[in-house]
Amino acid sequence: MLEVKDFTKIYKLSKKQMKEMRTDEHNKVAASHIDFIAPKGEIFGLLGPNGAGKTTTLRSIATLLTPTAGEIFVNGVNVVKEADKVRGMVGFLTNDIKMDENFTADYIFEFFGKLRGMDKEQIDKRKQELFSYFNINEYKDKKIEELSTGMKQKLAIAVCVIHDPEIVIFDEPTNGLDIITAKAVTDYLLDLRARGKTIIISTHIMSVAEKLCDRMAIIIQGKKVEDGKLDEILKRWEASDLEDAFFKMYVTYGKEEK
Amino acid sequence: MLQTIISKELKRIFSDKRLIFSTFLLPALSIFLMYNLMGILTSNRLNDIEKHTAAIAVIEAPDSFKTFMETYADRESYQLEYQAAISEELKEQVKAGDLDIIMQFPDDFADRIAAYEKSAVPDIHIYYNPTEDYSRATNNELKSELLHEYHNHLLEERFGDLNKVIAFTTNTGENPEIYEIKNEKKSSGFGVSQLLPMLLSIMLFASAMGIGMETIAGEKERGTMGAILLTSVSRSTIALGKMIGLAILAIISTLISVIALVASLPKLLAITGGDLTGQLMYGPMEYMQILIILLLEVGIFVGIICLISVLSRSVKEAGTYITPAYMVVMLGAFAAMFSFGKTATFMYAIPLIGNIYALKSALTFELTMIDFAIVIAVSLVVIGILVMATTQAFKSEKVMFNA
Repeated sequence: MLEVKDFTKIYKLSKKQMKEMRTDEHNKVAASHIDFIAPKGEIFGLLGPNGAGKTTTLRSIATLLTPTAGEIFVNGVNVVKEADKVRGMVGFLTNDIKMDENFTADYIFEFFGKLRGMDKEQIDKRKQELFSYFNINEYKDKKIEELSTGMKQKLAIAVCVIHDPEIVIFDEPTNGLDIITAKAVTDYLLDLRARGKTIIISTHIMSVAEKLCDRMAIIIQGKKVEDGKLDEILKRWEASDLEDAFFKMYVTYGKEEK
Repeated sequence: MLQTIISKELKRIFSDKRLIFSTFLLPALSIFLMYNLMGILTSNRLNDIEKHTAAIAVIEAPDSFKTFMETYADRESYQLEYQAAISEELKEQVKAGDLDIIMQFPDDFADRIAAYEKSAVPDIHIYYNPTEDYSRATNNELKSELLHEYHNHLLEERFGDLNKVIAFTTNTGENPEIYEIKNEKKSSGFGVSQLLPMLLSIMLFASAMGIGMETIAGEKERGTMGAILLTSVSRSTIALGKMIGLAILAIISTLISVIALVASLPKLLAITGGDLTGQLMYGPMEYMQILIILLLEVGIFVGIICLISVLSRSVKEAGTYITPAYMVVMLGAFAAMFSFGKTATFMYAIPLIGNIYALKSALTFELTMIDFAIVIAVSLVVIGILVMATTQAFKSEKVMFNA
């Protein structure tokens, strides 16, 4: 289970960043007082437009960033106080983080297995499972730079879950993928759910969220404006679908900020 | 974990033929070819000047000079053209390099020589072109040899016996080397000590710079560092693994370059006028000193490069910041190369520069144990600070994720 309590992240801007962003503000609030709970065995969606604060929230859960305020617990473990322990429980996939393309798929998998503290036997067993699942075996001796975008994404997922984490976080998992690879990714997420894992995905594609997520939270301009199950959200906003509900939320909360 | 990270850094280079060539072989090949070529061209130039028959226009030459030249032992080296007067045309020929020297005697040269007790000493004007190798070399040779001999010839005619005007000579024996009282050990290392500290320091930094920027700034730029930071491996281990991996690669690259350098050393020393006729007389102590100084130098270079790379957002940005550090290394290397006399002890306490001076002193057997200890202590402190700063940078989300 994942628990986010009153999470706030404020970036201090350098003079260069202030100039680039054309602002006089020395701080940028990326996420403000966000809280939600992602239960075990469910897919939780973090939805919102680009720049809403989804990735910041996910990076903080994955221990890459430290919350400015608030707390995050992964299976009851504080992500700041016991970051190393949390890293062992979390698998994080994001488009910003890539595999080193100079190496073969096989080597990269083994490399991350070793970094995760796995022995050769464990790595080989996991490799067999995941490479078979994602049909990577045929390409395992090729350098990653020679693989297709879809195959790179499949390998990235395999590396992300190499240590069989309890919490799996996918940031925009189907972004830029062809329909076949996107299907393979969503099928894998459903498979993980069936195995009782806690899954958090972020997306700005409402149809993906509708199809996959058991629960969701909507973030607009760094603030959580809604959360719950799909039918509850649609009912509250008197919307026909999630996209319709989202636009209504954006008109309401997006305007406030302006 | 440390070993896993180090072996990945090594594999990245050693599994790619192109990187092996560009990281290790190309610099070594460039050094070998460049220095050999420079050596061959310099030798050819010196041989060419030596064999050159100097073209000299002699104006108002007295009969005594003409007679002297008929018996002068080295007359074949000169092609003399006797002329009545100097002209602008002759000067233009010197300027163009077609004529090496114009040697102008005063028109009353013979009279003044004859009436030397009443006349002023005649002055021979030698016009030459300092920008032309042949002209410059001939000018020096004329003064030190031909005209010196002619001068003695006239004195001998005047006094009948040259010993009447020569009080003494210096070191005119057949074997002038017997008068050299030198420290054989220092002498044997003198040639290499002039060049090696400079070349080694520059090569070490250059090889570490290329790989280091790619290893850290490149991984940050491409987003591949994040995947490693997501694992439970401590940031200190990741930073150390990167640094040690880089140090190993830099040392291998430098060793290969040193082999190329040593292979080209005879040619290279010909360029600087040094020689390798004496055997190098380094013992275990000198080799140990040189090895330790080099390792410490690698440590400092790697620390600087890693710290700058981790603080940079891209390889390009890292390159911009590392260039000034490279300039400091080059400055230190050249300062050490052109320094003379015993190095003051405080110089060894200057980080980076001290290592280069210590290397030079070790090569000339002049590095005392106190100097050596100072270099070790200062280097270890600097390396420690750089490692700590790099590790802290790896822990900073601002640095690693620009957050």
